[in-house]
Amino acid sequence: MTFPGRDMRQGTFTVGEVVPTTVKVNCGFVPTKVELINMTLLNTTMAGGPPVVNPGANYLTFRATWMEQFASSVTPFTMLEALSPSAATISLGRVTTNGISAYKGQVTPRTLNQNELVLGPIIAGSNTAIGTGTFTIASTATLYVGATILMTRNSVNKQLGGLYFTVATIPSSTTFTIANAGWLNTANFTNGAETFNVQLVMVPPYFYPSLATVVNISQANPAVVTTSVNLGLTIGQEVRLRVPQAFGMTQANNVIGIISAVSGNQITLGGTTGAFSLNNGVDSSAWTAFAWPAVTVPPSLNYATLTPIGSGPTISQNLLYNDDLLGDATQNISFDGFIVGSSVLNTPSTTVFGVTAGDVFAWTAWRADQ
Amino acid sequence: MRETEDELIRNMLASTASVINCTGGVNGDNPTELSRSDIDATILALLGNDAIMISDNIEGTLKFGTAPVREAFWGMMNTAILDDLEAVTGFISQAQYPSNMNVLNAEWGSVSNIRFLYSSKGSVTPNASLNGNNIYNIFVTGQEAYAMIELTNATASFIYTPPGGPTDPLRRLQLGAWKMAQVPRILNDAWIFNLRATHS
Repeated sequence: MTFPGRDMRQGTFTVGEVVPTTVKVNCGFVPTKVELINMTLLNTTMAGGPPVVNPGANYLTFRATWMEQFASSVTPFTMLEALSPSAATISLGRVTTNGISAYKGQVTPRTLNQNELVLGPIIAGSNTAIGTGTFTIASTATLYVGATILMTRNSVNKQLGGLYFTVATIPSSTTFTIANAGWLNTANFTNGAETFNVQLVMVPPYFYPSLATVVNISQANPAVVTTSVNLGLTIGQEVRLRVPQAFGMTQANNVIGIISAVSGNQITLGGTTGAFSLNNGVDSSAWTAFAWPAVTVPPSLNYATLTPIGSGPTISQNLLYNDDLLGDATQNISFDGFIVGSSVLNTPSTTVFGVTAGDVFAWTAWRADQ
Repeated sequence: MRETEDELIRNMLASTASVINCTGGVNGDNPTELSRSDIDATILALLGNDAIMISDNIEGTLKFGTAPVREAFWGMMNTAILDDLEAVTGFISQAQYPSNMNVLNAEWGSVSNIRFLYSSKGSVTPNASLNGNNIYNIFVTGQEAYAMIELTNATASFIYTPPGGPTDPLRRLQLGAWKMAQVPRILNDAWIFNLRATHS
């Protein structure tokens, strides 16, 4: 851990397969200046030597710069430099939302007292399409694919109030979807207009993996569990299900399973063999169907949950038995660093500075306390 | 330094402990405010999982206005909902305990088989209820439910470096800092619950 004072760190990150996207970089301190250089772009367009000609039809960002002073200016911004479409020139621009920002996730800010999550501004919602899991809100400008959001104050589908969701897609400037939303398309949810609030979770829980709300469990062998958020769980981890009576599948309550497959917000509890054949998969094919209860008055409800409890069985060093370790049950994943937002790692066009999926960026972060 | 240690354990519990929503209250939110039925449900869940209580009972004595206190799990909560705790049926203030020998400084009182500790740093999840109100996380724990692992060579230490080091010929710079390494862990998730409540 570097003691912040006057410091500099460097590294690289790769833009994900889906653009726009957001990248969080752990540099060990809260920087006062960040610079990004798109190495992939320069390596490809420099092939013909100077001058650098952009052969494409879109603005391609080769450098992004952010300073603490930019963030405290009249209009906070991140400076972008891009190769101009089909030309041997560069263009200068800025983004004022979802640019680069300092990230302090290490210790609860004193100003927020004991709150461990940091939430963004409230965004008003107006419609829930249960058939597709599509929610209509005032603006999706601050959301991004993979973002965690908190939904509250649902006027009709009160079961959803207080749940966290992972944004799966953003089809338009006013709609977003959640993944594997078939559980929503049932009789106890209502399709159509309702008011609700959405807030972006800007600083998530410090500890991984967090508890998750279970929204569906399949009747299958092995059982497939759908959670409201992508937990980032891994194959071999051990989890415990808690299913209240109101959700029907009471046989799943207190059941422990070993994860055999992970896909977004779905995990399969097929078990694992470790050193021996444990036959520890979870077979829910004969269990009562998992079903969300209708809205009650008052609307208080205990959710079905999934609690990660350990690493699962792994072969001991002497190959004689399985260890059942607590590792993975709780890991502090908080960090200090910076976030590169979706306006920097954006889809390029003839009017928007952007990047290409898979681009490798070199980053440099400085801190210069006086 | 010590406060940060406590905060890290608190945040670990808030992130990963199994939850029970309060549903017995009447404030129309989800979860509701704390109620006797929620406390009973938590105790039954812990007992159903074979959790062992932490503190022994305090026997009744012939003192006016006191009441015996049962053996108990411990509950850790935020000061903001102490009024709701006081309103729960069967609440016994620590001032009404027959003996104050085993009362902790931060103890507010007991209900049934839970004795409650309070702190202004108690865990809160912001705006997360159905109605967008803060949720207060009450960690109710039995014995050996979680632990903090200390490393022999990395216990908390305070560091002071006076001015005048090799890079400070003008004697301008001095350093006060602390460092620690700490690993909080839930040892058995069945022996601790996060009882979530809103304010009435």
